Amino acid sequence: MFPSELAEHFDMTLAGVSTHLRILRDADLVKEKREGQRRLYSLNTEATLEIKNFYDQMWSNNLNSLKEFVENKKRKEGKRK
Amino acid sequence: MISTNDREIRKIVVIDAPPDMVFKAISDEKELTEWFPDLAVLEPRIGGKVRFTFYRKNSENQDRDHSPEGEVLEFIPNQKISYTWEHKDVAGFPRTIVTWQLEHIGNNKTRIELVHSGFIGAENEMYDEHREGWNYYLDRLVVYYNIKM
Repeated sequence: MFPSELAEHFDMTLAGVSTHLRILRDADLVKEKREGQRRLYSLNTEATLEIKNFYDQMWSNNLNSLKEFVENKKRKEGKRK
Repeated sequence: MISTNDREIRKIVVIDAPPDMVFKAISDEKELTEWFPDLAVLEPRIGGKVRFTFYRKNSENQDRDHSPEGEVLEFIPNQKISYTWEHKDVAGFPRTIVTWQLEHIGNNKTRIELVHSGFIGAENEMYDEHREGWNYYLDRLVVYYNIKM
């Protein structure tokens, strides 16, 4: 999106939006592409995909732990009865 | 437009135990720590606080522990629990949602469907869908900006 498009949706001046976008770019949260005199901005999706991959792995591991925990517990309770 | 797979994680697992046992394991603060975080806070009601703390293993200082937190959106005993999952200290971390849906299947088994959604993973979405993402980033930015100044 161009800064002018974004500015329409926020209670901010175009200059304000442009300043913010440059900071987001420096923080690696958005990507910037030059198109002639204009700059086009998009969200940096790699950062969020990395987070998603982390959780994908984490849930796989933890669901296995959950299964093990609950099934062991059931087995122990069964023995006591 | 992108497929939903880019923004959510979906896992299915079948556990050889009845739903009440499984539900207890995913919602009881004490049982949670048996298989998931090192410390758990989960207030069992809609709007209740959720906070899971994971210690950094093999580390002397615990400064880098991570503690996702959020609030309970749905709480239906033995069936469903849903809560938000955020990392307030991680720049760029979206407001995600974790949902556990339990289904009682034959032989006293439970089918779990886990969905972790809300990951922003699209560049070419329509504006309305994008808006939340941009709002989010702009909010974040204000924080980042204030720190830098």
